[in-house]
Amino acid sequence: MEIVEIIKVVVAGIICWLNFVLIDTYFGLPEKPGVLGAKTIGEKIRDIGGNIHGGYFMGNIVCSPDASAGTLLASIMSYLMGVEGGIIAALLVWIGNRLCADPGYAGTIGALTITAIIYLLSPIIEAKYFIAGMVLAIFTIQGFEHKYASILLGKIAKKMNRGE
Amino acid sequence: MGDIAILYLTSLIISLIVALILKLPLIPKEKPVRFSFQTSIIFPTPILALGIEAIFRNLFGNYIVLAVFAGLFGALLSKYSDKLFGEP
Repeated sequence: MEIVEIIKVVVAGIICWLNFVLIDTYFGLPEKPGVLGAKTIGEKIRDIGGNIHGGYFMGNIVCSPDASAGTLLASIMSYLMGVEGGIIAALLVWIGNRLCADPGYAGTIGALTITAIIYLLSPIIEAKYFIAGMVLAIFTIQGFEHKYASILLGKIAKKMNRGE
Repeated sequence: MGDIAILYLTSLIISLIVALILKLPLIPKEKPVRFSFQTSIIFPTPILALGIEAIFRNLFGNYIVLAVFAGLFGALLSKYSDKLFGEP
């Protein structure tokens, strides 16, 4: 029984990881730092041997609610209220985005897509596994190893024509 | 369930009509769109209207009048977001 739960958390984590990395990269997070803080983080990561575009990506994640915040908030709200909660999360993420000088495409689209994914997968993987999965997914980017995470993000950005 | 769908549809349609009356563009005119702060009919107007409707419905109940107001507020928030949040 516990093994099944762990597998569900890992699968949900992989889905969340793909959801937020692909959407953030598509909407141009690696291309340029939105605010000064993101630029500082990007340059810091380049100084420790990472990729500057991956660094901008990680800085933008920290400095404004992007698809990673949207994925986490929509998972929590879906757990609490179902699909309606996901829509409320998208609204609140957009307001947060505008407060942080960000146009808000990545965050709201990420919240809406994960709401749809959770709704479609709800008979197999419940929303609570997506909350745990998203915490794991963001840990692999922001907590585990900054240098190699930024190099991986830089490679994905290059593949998707976002940043050199 | 059908009831809820009608409420959401109402707020969605009202928001699109009000956005048209307020002369919001269909998509942002600035290119590339992914860096544009200009609000438009397809983004974020419908998301704001549906989000406000979801909040109203859960706070006050299933009333079609609230759905109409949610659509109106969604379009107004979209139109005047620069005034509210400051010019980027």
